[in-house]
Amino acid sequence: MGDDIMSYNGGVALAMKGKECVAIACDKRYGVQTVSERLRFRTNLYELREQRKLKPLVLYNMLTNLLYERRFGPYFVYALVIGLDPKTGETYVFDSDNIGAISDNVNLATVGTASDYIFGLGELFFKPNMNADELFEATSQALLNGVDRDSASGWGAVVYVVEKDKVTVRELKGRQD
Amino acid sequence: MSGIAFEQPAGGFVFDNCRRNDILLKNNVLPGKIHKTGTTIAAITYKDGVVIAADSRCTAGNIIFDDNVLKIHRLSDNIYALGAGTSADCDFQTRLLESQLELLKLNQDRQVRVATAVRKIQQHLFRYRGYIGAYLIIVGVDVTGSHIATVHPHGSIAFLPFVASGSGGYTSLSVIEDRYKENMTEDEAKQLVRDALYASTTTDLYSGSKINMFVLTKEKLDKFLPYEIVAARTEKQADYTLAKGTTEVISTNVKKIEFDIVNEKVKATGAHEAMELA
Repeated sequence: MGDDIMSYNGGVALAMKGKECVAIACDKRYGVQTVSERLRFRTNLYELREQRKLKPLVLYNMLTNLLYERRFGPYFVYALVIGLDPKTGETYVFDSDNIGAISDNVNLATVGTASDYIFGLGELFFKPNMNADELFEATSQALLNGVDRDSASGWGAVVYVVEKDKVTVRELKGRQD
Repeated sequence: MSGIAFEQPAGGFVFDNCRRNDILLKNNVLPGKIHKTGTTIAAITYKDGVVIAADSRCTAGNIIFDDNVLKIHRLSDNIYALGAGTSADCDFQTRLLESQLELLKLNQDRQVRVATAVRKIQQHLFRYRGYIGAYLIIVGVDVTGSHIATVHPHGSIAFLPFVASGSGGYTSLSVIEDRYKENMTEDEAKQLVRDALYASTTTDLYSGSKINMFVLTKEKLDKFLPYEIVAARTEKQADYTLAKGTTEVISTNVKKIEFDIVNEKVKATGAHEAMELA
């Protein structure tokens, strides 16, 4: 038939939930500029109009609405939304396909070219109520080992671990081929 | 200013990527896989109302994307919809219909009828000539009794005493066809729907995990989430917790989160101090 458009740029992202912490990770071959710019525009407008920070579910609804508007001429973007409520400590992980399919708040989500492999690894390393360090290791190892079996993604990775009072950004060593 | 106005969503679909995507498609570039519910959904009427049920699996190709999806969508207090087909279409079209029905209810100051909901979505889907891939079963109880309607993407409908749809629909339907009687009791109806979904979740690859069920009558709505877990995930056979420091890190950067101040309180320590300050 032909090539899947998703393998043109390649790239993969993974998100996982812990106890009062949540992690999101991606490799370094992804470019989703148009959608992220348009979303940034809408979130900025929201924050100015409402005079408050937007909550994870609001961001997710905005994103899915943005994607579903282009139901018949979609962007080539599969997205993850993560968040943490600083008051309750509740964590949020959502995923969406390229036309804005709505997901539940899940424990583990992955999108991109290596997502088929990473799903398996993620399920293996995930366990409920991990602390921030355990969550980082689980997320990183699931991503790195999945990415190594995918030619279209790789070149190192970045992992964000979100906790109540801070976000830790770690760059990981990965294969450069 | 015109730039900002251009970015403002006006509502409705946007078609500005269509030409690009069309050209890509003509050059043999495949679009990415979209999520399908790959479903079994079923509904039957009984003596006092309707019983509806759905499995909880969401697939993209052969990958199970989510094993805990709720495919029963609220349209109004007395009307619910079951969705099969393209996930995004089911989610958004039922949401759209829900808001329209709520406005209608407020305008008319009456409970909305099932026929209204069905006709509204039917006309909407017909306008889009089947491109909105939502296979819906709309059920409800109103002043005219309890109803089940099935709506297809092209806009064809049928009001039936029982129906099943989705990839596992035929499997379920055969079970219901075999044992359906008019005026069943609630327990009989629940058992029949459960057996119908059990048949399809165990045989259809794109249906599985759990059976969610709603029982809707004039008086009540019972939700069973889930009614039955058909195939539970087994416990892991070993502990795969990774030791701290397993992953080689090149650089670490910690960003403190700044909080929004939600409210500020100034406490007066004594009456005269306040006076002095004034």
